[in-house]
Amino acid sequence: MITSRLLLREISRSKSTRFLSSLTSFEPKPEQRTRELIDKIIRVDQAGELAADRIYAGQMAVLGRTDVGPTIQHMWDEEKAHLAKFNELIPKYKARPSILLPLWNVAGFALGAGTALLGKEAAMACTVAVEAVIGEHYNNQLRDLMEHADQTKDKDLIETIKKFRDDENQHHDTGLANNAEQAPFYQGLTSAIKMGCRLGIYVAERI
Amino acid sequence: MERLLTLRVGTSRLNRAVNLCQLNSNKLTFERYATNGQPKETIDPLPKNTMKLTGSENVRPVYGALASAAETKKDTNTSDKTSANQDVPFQSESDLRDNVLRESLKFVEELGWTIDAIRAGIRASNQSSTIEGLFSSGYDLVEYFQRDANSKMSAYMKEQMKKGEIQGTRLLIDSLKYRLGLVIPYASTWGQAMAQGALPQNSMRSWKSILEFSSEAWYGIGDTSTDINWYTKRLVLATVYKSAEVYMLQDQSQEKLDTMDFLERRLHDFQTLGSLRNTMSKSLSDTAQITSGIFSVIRNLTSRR
Repeated sequence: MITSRLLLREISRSKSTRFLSSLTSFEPKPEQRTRELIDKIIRVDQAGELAADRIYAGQMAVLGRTDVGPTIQHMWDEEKAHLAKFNELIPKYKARPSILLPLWNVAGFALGAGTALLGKEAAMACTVAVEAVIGEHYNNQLRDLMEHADQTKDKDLIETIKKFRDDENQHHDTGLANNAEQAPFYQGLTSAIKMGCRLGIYVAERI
Repeated sequence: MERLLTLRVGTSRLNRAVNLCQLNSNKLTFERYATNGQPKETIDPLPKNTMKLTGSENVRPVYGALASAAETKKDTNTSDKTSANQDVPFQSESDLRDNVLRESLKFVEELGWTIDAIRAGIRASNQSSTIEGLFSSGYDLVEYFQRDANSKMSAYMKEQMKKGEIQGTRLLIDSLKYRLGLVIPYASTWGQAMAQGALPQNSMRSWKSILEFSSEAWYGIGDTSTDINWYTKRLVLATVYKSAEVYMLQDQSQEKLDTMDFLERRLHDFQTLGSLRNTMSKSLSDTAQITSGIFSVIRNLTSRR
């Protein structure tokens, strides 16, 4: 888990060696850089919310009729609202959606259904892992936005991400409250899921 | 003036331009005093209507060689001991490039989309020829033209949307025709421009500008697709438009009216194809149901009950 985080930090630090941008002419202007940042943020967030939506759908498909059904349903409804918001932001900021959306769709459903088949504690553990990564990811985005984006023009985007980060943290706590830590192989499961999520975030930012 | 060789030691192009200016300044001084030892004219290094330096991008009119050397020096933040350092007009690198390229467009007809046209543009906009270091090839001119035409097209679309007379696909067709109309004055040399775009070293930039054009066109009519349709719409529109440009290359009609008709016909085809695709995607979910129905039939037929 620590190694994956270090690895990803190294990958994201290689800004000076952007090969593709050296094929264009010049250093981008500040507005250009902000635009690219926002484009990237909206793309990865839309892909992430779609994946989260599908994860909960997978969990509901297996555990819908058990006693955690209503909890999962509640979290699923919030994720649907998040997805709708990002779908609205894409034309507003002229962002490009990820081309691998069908992949995130399938992978999310598989993850949700797979962990739910391992039991409801495992499903909660999956929720905890995913929401932890997402919370950290939204915090990173907020830091980037604070640094590079115009605070007044993009206030809506910043507020949206703040609110969503708070929602995701709440889901994380809900997962923990529902005995996530009693899942079989809790540490291994959560580490694997966290690494997968971080890889997914990395790919969705670019493709 | 021949191009001086400079060492590319990881410095930006502007730094290199500065170095060239400093090296060249002796040469300029010599020329200025070339006529029998008398100065040709008194060149005022500080133009009269200077303004205070306010920081980021201020577009200022271009001045002669010495002034631009002073500008570029200020731009790179070297410590300038002269009193000029507070009042030197500031022009960012990209605005400078855009100004020169705009001037260069006038020379495209006779000199083609080449570095020669850019050189002529530099002379016409009264800049030092060392600015040439900011441009790599004739493709810079093509890219500027595309960018400029795309922004004109999105301004046109915004205006039409505001007026509200034309809507939807009709607006899309009109905007594409408008965009093609911006290219038609350069039709005689457009083949060269397209060929330059196809070169491997320019392919990434030309892809980017085509996709940007396509994206602008769709966002201009308020497209809100957020999945794979985003990509298919843009790719199909770009293909249609590019085919119209290719058609234009061999069109002999008056004012290229045939090309406009061609574009209109292709877009109508695309429209019907688009509605076909919508029915297809609906039928995909039906297909899933039909398939599962067939499976359950087979299962029932082959089970031993």
